[in-house]
Amino acid sequence: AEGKIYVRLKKVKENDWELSVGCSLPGKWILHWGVSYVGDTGSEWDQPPEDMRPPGSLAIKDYAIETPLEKLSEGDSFHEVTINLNLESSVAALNFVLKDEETGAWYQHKGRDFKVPLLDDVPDDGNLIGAKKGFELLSLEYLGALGKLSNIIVKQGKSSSGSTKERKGLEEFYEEMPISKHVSGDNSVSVTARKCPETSKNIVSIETDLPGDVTVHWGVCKNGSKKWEIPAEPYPEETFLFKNKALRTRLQRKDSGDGSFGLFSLDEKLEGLCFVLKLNENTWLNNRGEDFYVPFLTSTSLPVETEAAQVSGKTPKTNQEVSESGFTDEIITEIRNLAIDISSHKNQKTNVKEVHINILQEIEKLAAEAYSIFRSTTPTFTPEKEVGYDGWRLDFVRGFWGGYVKDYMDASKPYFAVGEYWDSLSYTYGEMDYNQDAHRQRIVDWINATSGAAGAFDVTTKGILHAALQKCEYWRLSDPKGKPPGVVGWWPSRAVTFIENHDTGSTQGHWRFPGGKEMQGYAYILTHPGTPAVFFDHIYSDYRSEIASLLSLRNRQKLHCRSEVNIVKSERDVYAAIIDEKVAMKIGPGHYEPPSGSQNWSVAVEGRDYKVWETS
Amino acid sequence: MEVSVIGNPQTKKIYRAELTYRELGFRLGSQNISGDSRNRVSFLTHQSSKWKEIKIRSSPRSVRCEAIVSDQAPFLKPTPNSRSLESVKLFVGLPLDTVSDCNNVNHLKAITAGLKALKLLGVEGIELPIFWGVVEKEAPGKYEWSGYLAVAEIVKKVGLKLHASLSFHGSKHPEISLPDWVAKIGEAEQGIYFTDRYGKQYKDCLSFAVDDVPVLDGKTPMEVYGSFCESFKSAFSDYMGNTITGITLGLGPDGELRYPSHQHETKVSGAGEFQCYDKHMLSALKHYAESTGNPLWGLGGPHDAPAYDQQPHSTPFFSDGGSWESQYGDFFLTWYSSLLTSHADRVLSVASSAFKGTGVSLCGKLPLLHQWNKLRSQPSELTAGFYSSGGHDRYEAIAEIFAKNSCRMIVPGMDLSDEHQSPASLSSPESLLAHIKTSCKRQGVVVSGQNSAASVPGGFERIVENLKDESVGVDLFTYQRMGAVFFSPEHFHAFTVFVRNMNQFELSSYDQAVEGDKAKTMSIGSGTTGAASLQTA
Repeated sequence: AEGKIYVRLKKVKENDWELSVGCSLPGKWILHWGVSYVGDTGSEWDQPPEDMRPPGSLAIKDYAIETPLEKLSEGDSFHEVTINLNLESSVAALNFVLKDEETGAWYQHKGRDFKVPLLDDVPDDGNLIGAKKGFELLSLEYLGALGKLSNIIVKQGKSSSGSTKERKGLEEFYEEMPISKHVSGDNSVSVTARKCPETSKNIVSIETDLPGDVTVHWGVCKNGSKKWEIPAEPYPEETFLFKNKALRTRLQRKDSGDGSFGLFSLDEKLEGLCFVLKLNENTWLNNRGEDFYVPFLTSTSLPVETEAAQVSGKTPKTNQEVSESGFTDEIITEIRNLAIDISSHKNQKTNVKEVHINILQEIEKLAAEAYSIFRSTTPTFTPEKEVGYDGWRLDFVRGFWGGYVKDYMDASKPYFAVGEYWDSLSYTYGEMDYNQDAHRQRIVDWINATSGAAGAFDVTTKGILHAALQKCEYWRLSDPKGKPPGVVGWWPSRAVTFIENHDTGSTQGHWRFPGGKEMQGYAYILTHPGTPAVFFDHIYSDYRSEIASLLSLRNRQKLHCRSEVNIVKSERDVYAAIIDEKVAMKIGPGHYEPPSGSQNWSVAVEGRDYKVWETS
Repeated sequence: MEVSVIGNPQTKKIYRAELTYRELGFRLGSQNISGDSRNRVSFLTHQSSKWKEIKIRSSPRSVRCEAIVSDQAPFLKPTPNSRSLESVKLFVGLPLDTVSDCNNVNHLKAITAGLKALKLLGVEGIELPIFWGVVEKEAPGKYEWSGYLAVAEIVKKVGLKLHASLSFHGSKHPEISLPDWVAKIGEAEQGIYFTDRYGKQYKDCLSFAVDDVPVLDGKTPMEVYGSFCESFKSAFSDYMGNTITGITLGLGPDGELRYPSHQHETKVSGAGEFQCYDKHMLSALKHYAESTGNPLWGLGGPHDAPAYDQQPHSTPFFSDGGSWESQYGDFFLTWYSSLLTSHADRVLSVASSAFKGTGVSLCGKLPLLHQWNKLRSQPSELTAGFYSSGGHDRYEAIAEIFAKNSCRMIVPGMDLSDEHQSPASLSSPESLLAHIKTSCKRQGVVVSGQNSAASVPGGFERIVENLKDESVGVDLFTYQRMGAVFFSPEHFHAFTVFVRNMNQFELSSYDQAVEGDKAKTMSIGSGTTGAASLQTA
């Protein structure tokens, strides 16, 4: 179904404005929103003032509100929510994403939040030209990822150079964006059956992009009947026997979190696999009232297409007891044959790209699996410990969908949890790219999927520090908006900054911090926002006293995970920043001294290629 | 305000898909879209055909700005006069401890997953180090191949080729020693191991001087190696010539043809020391000295060579005009290097007779002793046994032996470049590599490549350059080696890019798909219409 989302900013009377967000499609729409206050950095959200929260709003942790959209009228599919804006407060912008609880889908804005500015963006102190540019780029393009773009007329506050608190630029606007609700007609189940040439076993792979948990309720057929039988073991993981009549296998979530898959290896003598999919207690998917049936080949040489065609293109009907029928009725299940054999795909031009992507995903999945085992079997001689927290450390969470983490965290309620989502930064011709937004976005997405229940190691910051320190490229430490380029620049309260851990450094050394430059790394992370983690090995190294001085400075000056960082220099050989206007730091061989103005700076910690000052 | 609605969990696939796209640069405003064939406007990285309605528009306001979406995995630009890498077969080495000394397969699950990943990536095959100390551990002639056979079966199932490295040496990390019964003999009878002038034995490899001495329960090491090869051939007969396409013979320490001139595990700083002080070496030297009429020269090795941790120039031996250039030096070095050459000949002859007619290619590995090779004396090569009288090519005799036995030569260090060497080490891996390649070419020996053990900056780029070098066609490259570091995200990503740079065919078929898609889905593209619509921005 296609429809639109609209956003309307309306002036009710002087200093009384309201913002409405609506959607024309049926669904269980939730506005997931928060605000930015004047002076907030990054993409972090804050709770809006109490009086801005419409009735029925639910606070999500300390950074967001969820407000359901109400039906405008009975029999109409329009949903809307209206927020009365408190312009007395220092709210600078309102951020939101739209969530459809029926499908679990999030409707975002180019992978980021929708942002409605309520203030003119005033340039900081002239050094944010790059940031300005970047901002305007965002306001130029309209990118409708799902539907055709309608003509949209933008009405935005004209830029003014007035003081930040003035809202004279605020203008009414109304915008519509097309959306299509993707659940309709877009979920699919792919079933592939092939014979393993070596073992002659039948390998069936079931893959789906259905959101949420998907359980395959299945049995096998033999002797020409379509009666369900229980095959001999072994079964795939997470398989349970259901009343001696069928097996239930919960499909594994894909790494990307958007769907699941399962592999069934079955004896060569069997004739077929029958199954239905179970989405929840009341929702079943079958093939027009029938079970899905996947016949196996009797001869290994026959191509599988003809047989698979039997189940292709059918629209399954759902069990009519279903309450959530709005969702399931519309699902078109498309069964197609997706042979795993690469060579056969080379002939199918149309499929090549899709296959490539599947292959790449598979490669990444396998490599991640290999890595997680290899590194756990590689002997480690150093005890691992992150200093200062009671909580979970989730090792190597890539391939571990964030949603699971949320459940886990909800159940265990640790004081602090952090996940390590480690994948590669972006490089071009072996050179690290300046822009690592895609990399930090993946980490932010992971945190998002945990609903903020867990923080994440700021792998982006570590990677950029590597390049900056190793090659004397300190300009990398400021993003185009003049903010820190890692996760800490976007979501400091969830970023756990570190320069080394037991995998990257120590005896394993999979991605070691540039040698001899560790203290520059600490001078950076221990003065900057985010939650810094000190590597155990470093505490028992020559760096001990320098790290201790930086730690006590952080405590003394009460720097915290949301401290504000003002980057004052990011040049080839020096990076300098002032944090919360009371701590100044520089790293790199280049020269920097904090301004000798109203503040009185004194050197707090100093070492090789770094210096930290505090106000006294 | 720019708005995009990305509404389905499916969109997360976009991030995955990014891996497959090439660099994209497009500019708005006063800049032109660069529309050459290398650029694919590809941020519409959807994977399902249902996403075809995607369009890009820009608002009427005009501001100069740019967006560079850079790809995660750029492909190297083809240079016109370099050879295609399609013909280069890529192998990846399995961990040294793939099979434990109890014949279990270590990290079986990880290896299986890893092999699948490599197969999908387009890697040709796998190198499997097979240790003498694991297979013939307990008693002479008692071979236990089960662990290695299990690995071969996995490799076969995944559809990869296998290259077996028969290793007659031990390893420190991970610790794998020579067979127990050999170690026992070594304890009882001094002199079967290499020994330095301080009397320290190198217990991970037998001395070249005992090759034809019946020190192993009445058999010579060559006889023992020969039986080992025969046993391997029959145990793996089902795989020979189909799954197993190559066999590398261990020629010395770490499998490389050299003396263990560096015995210290600490950082290599000196040029190494001569290893000619075991009983058999000394008696051979004495005999050689007497036969050449210089009995006094046969009493020991050079007395003025530097110690392990000393700079080569700190004592006279390797200096310009030093002992190495003297008559004595020529005498000693000629003898010392001849043992190395004859050892290579013996092992390779044993192997080539054992594996004749199996359709498997034989290989032997050389070291790349690039440290100090800017010194005239090339001391690292001298202590390791590479010398030629009168300034002749010191690799020629070796290459001749390889040619005679129809053996390929594996040369490591193809990832090393001069610029990353410390100036103090007076090292030039590039020129040494070129030298060895030339020697091989002259003798008609085929060269296979390997990287050095530790990963080095710019390594992959250097490997590609080496493989593209037309003067000597390297047609097989083995990347060392699989393990935790190999699969760690930063490294594996770099490896993926490397493989795809080598794999031209996949690339072209992929391009077509992108092209086709683009035509259907894009409202902007390389054409002028697209550019114009963007430039209204």
